[in-house]
Amino acid sequence: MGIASQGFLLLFLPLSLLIYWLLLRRPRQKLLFLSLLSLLFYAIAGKEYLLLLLGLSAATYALARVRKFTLGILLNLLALAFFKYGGFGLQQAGLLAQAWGLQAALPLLNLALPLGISFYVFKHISYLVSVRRGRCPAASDPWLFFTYAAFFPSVSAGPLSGYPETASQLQALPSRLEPANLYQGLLHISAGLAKKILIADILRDALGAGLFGSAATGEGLAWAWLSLLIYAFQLYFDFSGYTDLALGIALLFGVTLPPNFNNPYLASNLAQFWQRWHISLSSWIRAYVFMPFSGWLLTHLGNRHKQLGMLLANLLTMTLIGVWHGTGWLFLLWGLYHGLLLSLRSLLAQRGVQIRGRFTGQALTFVAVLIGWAIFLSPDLAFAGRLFSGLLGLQGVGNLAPLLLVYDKFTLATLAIAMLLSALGIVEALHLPPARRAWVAAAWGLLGLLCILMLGEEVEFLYVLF
Amino acid sequence: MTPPPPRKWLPLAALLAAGLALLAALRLAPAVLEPLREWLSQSQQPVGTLSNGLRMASTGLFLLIAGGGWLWQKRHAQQSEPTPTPGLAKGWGAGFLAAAAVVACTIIVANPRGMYPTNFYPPRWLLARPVKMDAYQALPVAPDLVILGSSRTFTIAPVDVQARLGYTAFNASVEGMRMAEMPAFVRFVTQEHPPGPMVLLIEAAPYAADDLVSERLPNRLLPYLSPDQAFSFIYNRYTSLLNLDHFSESVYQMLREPKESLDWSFQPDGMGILPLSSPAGLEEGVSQAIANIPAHCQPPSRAAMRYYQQVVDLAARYQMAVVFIIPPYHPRYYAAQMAPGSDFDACKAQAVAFLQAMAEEYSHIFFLDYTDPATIGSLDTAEGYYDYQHMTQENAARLLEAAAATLQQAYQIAEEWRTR
Repeated sequence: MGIASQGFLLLFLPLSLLIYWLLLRRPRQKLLFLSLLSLLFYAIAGKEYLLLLLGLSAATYALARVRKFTLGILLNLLALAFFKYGGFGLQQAGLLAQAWGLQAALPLLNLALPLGISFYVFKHISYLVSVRRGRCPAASDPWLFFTYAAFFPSVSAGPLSGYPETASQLQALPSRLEPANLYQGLLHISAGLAKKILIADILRDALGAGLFGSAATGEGLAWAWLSLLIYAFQLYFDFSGYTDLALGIALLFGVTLPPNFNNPYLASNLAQFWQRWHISLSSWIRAYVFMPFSGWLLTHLGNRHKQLGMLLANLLTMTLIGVWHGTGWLFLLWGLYHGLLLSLRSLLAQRGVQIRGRFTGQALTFVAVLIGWAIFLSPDLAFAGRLFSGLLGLQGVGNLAPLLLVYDKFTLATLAIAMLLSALGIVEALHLPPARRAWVAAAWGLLGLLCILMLGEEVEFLYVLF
Repeated sequence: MTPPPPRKWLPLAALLAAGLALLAALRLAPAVLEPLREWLSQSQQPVGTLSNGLRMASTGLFLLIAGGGWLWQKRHAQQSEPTPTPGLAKGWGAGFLAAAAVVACTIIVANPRGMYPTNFYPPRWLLARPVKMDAYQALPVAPDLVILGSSRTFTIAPVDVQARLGYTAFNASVEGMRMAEMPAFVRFVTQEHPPGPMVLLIEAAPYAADDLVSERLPNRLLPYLSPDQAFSFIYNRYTSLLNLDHFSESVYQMLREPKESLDWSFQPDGMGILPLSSPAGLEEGVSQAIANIPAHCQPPSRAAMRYYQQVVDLAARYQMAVVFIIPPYHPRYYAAQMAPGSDFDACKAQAVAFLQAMAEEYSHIFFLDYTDPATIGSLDTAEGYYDYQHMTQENAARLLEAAAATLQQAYQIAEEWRTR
């Protein structure tokens, strides 16, 4: 059960809200209930790894209490590395051993990725660092810490919230639901579902046949660029749809989570793009990796090698973002690509080279991001080679007739709507124009219902896989 | 300037007007709608025209309210942003609940899959379960032998059982039977007429199915389900009230002819009959089925194996013998399945091994594999098969002939068991 399933939206959520607002009065009761809900949600969604979440949270909580922060961070990183990269690491080590003619009998690790591990591990680390830096005291209430770590709307795919900001809300949960939170929560849910079901999933189905399928779609310039454009909007609407859902559900429980998107495809440069795309992850990496590392580099390299320090910090940060998204060399390459472009941009900016005109900046940034997605989406190097050969026009324009059979009018109309909403800057629920009339709100309600009708049993979000 | 107070009746009226307009358009303007319908049905999406239409309408609505709001905001940039009031949340709730009520009521009234206790319209799907349950309940006593299975065993005739073996029989096979339902049906046939039949002849072919019970299961079978199945059954009834496919079917139900062929007719003893295919029709149907053979077979599911075991345990509790059979396929289809490169045999072998092991372990369990049509000496013409997987009564009688000795043995075991 995910947050976009009929089971969740028609049973789990309404029942939970009824109990939460009608039966429970005190903030403490509400907090315990949220803990229980998070536990139940995780048990239904990914029960195989419930003990891992509980154990890691308990260890993090205990280690923070005895101020063993480094150990806590290492433990969390170790768990993440084992489950996320263990299989890949062993496979690569085996290949390397083979290449050197060694007969290494390395075991094959075929572990399923525990639900949300990339997210809750980062939340644990954020908590440990916050306590270490004195931003907040170590949690004395294990329930408070667990609810922060496993808060069910955001446990699968974020957004990553900081402990001080979230804990302060969880400690003082409101006794009654504010009308503003109620309406905003419902609006976020409608908008999130609409983006996922009406846009992202339609584009995903088309890509399944056109980009990843075996259909003879020509594989030329048109195939490559159109597929890439569709992928860019599928990914954006998928993840921002998930985020709106998570934000909306949290709001209905009186908790405000940080936003994750701010019209990223309208960014005028790459640095701005990363301030607008997956904001909570970018902020986390900036706060806990980029700033400390660049500070350390500046101290050790001195001001004379400031540019080198910036380059190294950018490369490390972006590579980390790349590998956070998944195992495989192409994720690493994607991170490096962004790191290099960011460094190039800051070098040019230091020398006074600026792109003139906002639109030119936006267009160039969008193309750079698209090329990055070509690396990101490729399952292997051969596929990436095929895609880049198409992007560069090495296969010619390609045959449009079979391409337009796969990317039919329905897909192209959906893509056009996605692009229009992005261009207007009204993709995220936060940026939607506020309703002034009840009938506009009713239309959002109707839209929410129509999306639930189309849900089916289970909907998978791309970022849940990361 | 203070905005005018929200008009609470407006969303409901707008929804009603939209519904009426849609119905009027569907009824009165086929010439305009036909090209649109054709275009919608050509879309990549797997569901029907109406579902596609609703998807597009929803996308349009999304664009309209988001884009319309943006335009309005551009024009009235000087106005301050309003604070969300309780009226807005009520408006959202009204829109959501009114539409949910319309959808749920349409599904309940049309009841295309027979899931709800209404019968204003003839069913859109074949619904053998309630028919068979009625017929079984109408029997004065339990028959000696009950046939359970999918539509592939519809044609095993109780009269043939009586003529060949001398046992009274009832055919309780239902369309799309899943192993998950089998224990409930075993409880039903036993508890409706205790002490129940002596022998159960059970089709063991749906070994790859998951552990979900069919949504066409009648509500009155609920007491015979296990608690987890009953929960999933009720949950399914609830979520099906807000399901696009069910809603589309309901609208079609009200506007169009039934979709699925309802040609099967059932005798009071539960046996099903279809009009015979023409030889050319049979050949064409088999060729089509061969073309649609999936690339990979489905191995037996763990869930199905769990239900086989439950049936075995229930049979022991009620002192019944069970004969599991896998009915034959049309010879051409069977040959295609067994062609080099196909892995069908590997999957079936797993199921066969499991069932044989059970037959060896328990004295009241038997297993007969008739997948190969040669094993029953099947008649390969249109008099023998309706299509690639449904045999006629003629071939069903041959299957009974092949299974006669085992059925007699099973009957004797159950008889000894009960008289002991």
